[in-house]
Amino acid sequence: MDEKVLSFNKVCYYYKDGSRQVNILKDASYDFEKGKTYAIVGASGSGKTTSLVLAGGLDNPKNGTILYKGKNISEIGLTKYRRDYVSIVFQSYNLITYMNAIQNVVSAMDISHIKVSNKKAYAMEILKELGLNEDESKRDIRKLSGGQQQRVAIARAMAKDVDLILCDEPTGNLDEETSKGIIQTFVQLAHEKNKCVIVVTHSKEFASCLDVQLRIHQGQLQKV
Amino acid sequence: MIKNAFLSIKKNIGKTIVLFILMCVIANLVIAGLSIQSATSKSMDQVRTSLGNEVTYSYNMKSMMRGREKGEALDSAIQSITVEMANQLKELQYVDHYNYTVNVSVSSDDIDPVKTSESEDDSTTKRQMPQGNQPRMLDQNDFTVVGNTTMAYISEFTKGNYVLKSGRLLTEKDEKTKNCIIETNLATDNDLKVGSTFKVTATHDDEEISETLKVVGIYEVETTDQMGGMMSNRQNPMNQIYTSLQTAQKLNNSTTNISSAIYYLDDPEHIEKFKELAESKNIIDFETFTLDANDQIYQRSISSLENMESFATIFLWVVIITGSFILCLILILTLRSRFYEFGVFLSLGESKIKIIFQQFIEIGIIFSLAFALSLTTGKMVSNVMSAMLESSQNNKEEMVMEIKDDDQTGIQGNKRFDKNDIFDKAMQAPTNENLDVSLTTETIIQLAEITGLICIASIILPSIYVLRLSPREILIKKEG
Repeated sequence: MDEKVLSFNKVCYYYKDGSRQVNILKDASYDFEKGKTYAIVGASGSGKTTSLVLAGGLDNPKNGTILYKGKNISEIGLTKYRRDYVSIVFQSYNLITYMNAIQNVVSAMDISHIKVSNKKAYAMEILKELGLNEDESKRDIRKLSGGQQQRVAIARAMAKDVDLILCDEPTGNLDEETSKGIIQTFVQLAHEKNKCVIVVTHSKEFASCLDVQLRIHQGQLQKV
Repeated sequence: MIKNAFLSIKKNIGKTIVLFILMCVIANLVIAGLSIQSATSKSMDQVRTSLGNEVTYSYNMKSMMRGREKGEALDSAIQSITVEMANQLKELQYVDHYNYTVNVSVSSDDIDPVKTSESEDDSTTKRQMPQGNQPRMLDQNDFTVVGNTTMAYISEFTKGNYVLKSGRLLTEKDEKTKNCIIETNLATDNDLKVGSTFKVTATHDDEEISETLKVVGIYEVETTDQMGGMMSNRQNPMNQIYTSLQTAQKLNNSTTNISSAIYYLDDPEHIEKFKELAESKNIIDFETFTLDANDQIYQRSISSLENMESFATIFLWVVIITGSFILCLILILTLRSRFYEFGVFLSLGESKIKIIFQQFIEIGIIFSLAFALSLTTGKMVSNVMSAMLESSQNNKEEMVMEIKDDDQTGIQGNKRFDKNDIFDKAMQAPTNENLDVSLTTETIIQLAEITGLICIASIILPSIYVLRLSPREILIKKEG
C-alpha cells in the first residue's frame, strides 16, 4: 500500500540577486511515498539541492508547505523534524572529524534519543552491515577513504531509523565500484526496510537504478 | 553533549592547550588582583582594630580655633561638654561601656609635687617671659585631679603603662567617696600610703574649693609619652591624682560639665556606624564638638593601603576586559573551523542552544583545570606582585605602615588635647607589616565568579553570530 511520507505543496523558493528575483522552485508539488527510491536530476543550479534542503528542514520555503505524513513541517518545528523524522546524507559526508565512525553514529542516535540498550554495539552492527570492520570503525575518521566515510554517513542515517532519507550527491566523490555498492544500499533500505529514499544526483546511471526519476523544470518537480 | 565536549577537547589538543595557558594566565592575574584587594581591605580593618574601639567625644579644636575672635581667650571660646549631652550618646547602639573624665588643676598645702625640673619653685611655676621685665605667674597649681566614672577602662592601666602597686583602682562604687589613687613617687616623696589623707584646693575666680582625699591605691608609671619638653609639675603624670567623677566635678565647681567622654564600642568595625548614628540623630553639634576615633592616625596609616587597593581594582578590570577580549578573539577565530561541526549537528536535529552549551562545557572543563592549577600558582604571583607594590609604595613615601598591637591609642585625661601628642602618634605609625595575600575562600569564590564571567562573555559573543544563521547558511559557509 502506498503511503505518502513527504509532500511538496505549491512550494516556492527564490533568492535575490541584487534587485532581480531568481526563482528556484515555483509552485512545486509532489508526493513522495514509503518503500520507494526517488532520483532528482537536473542541471546545475536547477534547484535540486534546494529541494533537498527544504525537504530536510534546513530552511523554510518562501511560499507553500511541505508536509511530513500530512503535517506541515514548520508546525512540527524544523529542529524537531530534523531530529526525529528525517536523515540527510551529504555529498561531503558531513562527519564530525574529532569522532571515529562509531562515535559519529552514536552521536546521531544520542541527538535523536534513539533507545537502544547498547548504542556502540548497534552502531558497530550497522557499520558492519555497510562493510566497515571494527578496526576501520574505530579509526580516525579522516583516515578513512571517501567511500568508507560515505558509508559512515549512511550508517548514521540508518541508525536514526526514520522513514525518510535524503541524499545529496552521495556518490559524487566516489569511484564507480563504491558507487554501485552505495546505490545498492539505498535500494535495499527502501525495498527491504520500507524507507522513502530521495537522492539528488547528476549521475544518469545512478538515477536509472532508482524507482522514480524526477527533474526540476521551470521550478516544477516533474516525473521523467 | 558532555561526551562530545570531552571528545572535542581531546582531539583539538592544540586549541585546548592555548586556551588552558591563557586561562591560567588570566586566573593567576585575577587571583593576584583579588588577593591584594582583599589583603589591603583586611589590613585596613586591622589598622582600625589596632586603634581600638574607643570614640572620644570632645571639643572640635579645629572648628573652635576657626571661630575664635582675634585675641579671644581659649577659655571663653571653648564650650563645655555637659553630662546630659554625653548621656545621650551612651544610649546609642554599639556602645558597650563609657567613661566620663573631668580634669581640674589643684594645689595642696599638705603634699609636695614630684618636681619636674630643679629650676622650678616649690609650689609654683614661674617663668620669665622672653621679653617681659617682671615675672608672671603662669600656673599656680602643681597637681591635676583626673576624675573618672570608672578606672576600669583607662588605657594607661589596661595596657600596662601604669601598674597598680598597692591598694585598688577606683570603680563606679567610689562615685560618692573622696577616695583617690596616686603615683608611687608622689606617695614616697610625701610619705603617703594606702589609707593616708591629704587636702587639695582648686581656685575658681578667687573662690577656693577644697576636698580632703583618701588614698586607696598607689600606682607606678612604667612608661609614658607625657614626659619631656617644657612640662610643668601639673603636666607631670606623677602628679596626677585619680578621683571619682563627682569629686573632680566638685573641685571644678560644676556638676554638669565634663572634659571629655569616651565610648567603648562593642566592635572597632562599628566606629563609622556609631558616628553616622550620632550624626543622623542630631545628638551633637559637629561644628562645635567631635567624635574622634584616632581618625588622623587611621587615615595616615591606610593611605598607602588605599593606593594599593585602587591599583588592585584597576588591575582587575584591565585583566577582566583584556582577558575576555583575547578569549573572545581566539574563540571567534576557531569558530570558522567549527562552523562545519555546528552545521552537521544542526542537520542532525541538535538545537542551537545545546550546541552553544557544548561550547560552555568545553570551556568549563578547560577553565576548571586552569582554575585548579591557578590555586597553587596564584599565591606565588600574589606574593611577587604585593612585594613589588610594597617596595614601590615604600620608595615613594619613605614611610611605611605599622600595625602594632601596643599602638598608643590611649586617649584619656588631659592627653586628649595635646596636639603634639596626636601628631607624634601619626608620625610614629610606620614600619611595615607584610600584606597577607593568602588565598581565602572568599577570594576563591570571587575568582570562580570573575573567570566564569569571562568565559561566559567569550562564548556568548561569538555564539550570537552562529545563532542568527540558519543551518543551510552554516552548511553553505562551511562549503565556502
